[in-house]
Amino acid sequence: MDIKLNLILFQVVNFGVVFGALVYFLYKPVVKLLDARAKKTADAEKAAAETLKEREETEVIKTKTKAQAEKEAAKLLEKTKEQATALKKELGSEAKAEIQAARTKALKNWEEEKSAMIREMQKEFTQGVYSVAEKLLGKAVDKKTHAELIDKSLKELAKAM
Amino acid sequence: MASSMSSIVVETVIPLSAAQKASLSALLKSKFGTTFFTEKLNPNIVGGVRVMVGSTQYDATLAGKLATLRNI
Repeated sequence: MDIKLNLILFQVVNFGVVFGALVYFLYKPVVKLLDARAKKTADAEKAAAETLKEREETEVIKTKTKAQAEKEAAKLLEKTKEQATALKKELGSEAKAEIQAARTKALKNWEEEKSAMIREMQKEFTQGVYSVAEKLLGKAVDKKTHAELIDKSLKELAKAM
Repeated sequence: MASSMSSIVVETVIPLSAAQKASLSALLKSKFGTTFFTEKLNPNIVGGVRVMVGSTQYDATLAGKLATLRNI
């Protein structure tokens, strides 16, 4: 077998040129691309983690807010119930007072009407009695008594004039 | 006190006796300065005497007393 030194040298140089070209044109861009991709992935993971964290925080805030809202709603409902009960009680008391006042007034009116009626009846009865007495006196008094009455009246007139 | 010029009317159920007239005249003289009066019979006064001097009336009748009682 014949060894050709020139050919070996050529092959070595040729290999070196190809190797250098590969390193320069292929290896470096690929490494750069891989680095960029790794960085992009890391950024995305970081962003995802942050988003997840924010979501969890939001969930916590939402839960707290909901619990607080429910608590306040329950408190408000309780307060409204108390106010409604108090109002109902107050209205009931007012209605009772009004009914009592109306009853008292009606009773008073009835008593007044009754008293007025009794007074009127007494007046009519008294007038009747006096009318009868007047008629009886006019017929029953004799001359002697009339004369005595005149004497007495003259004495009264002397005092009254 | 009413004027002495006013007409005086005396109402009774029966006519006044002489003594009663004299007594009344004396009373009128002392109060009104006159003894003149007109006597009028009125059975509605029931008993006693009513003297009217002008528009003033002095009532000492039973009817007047009954009317007073009736109005109480």
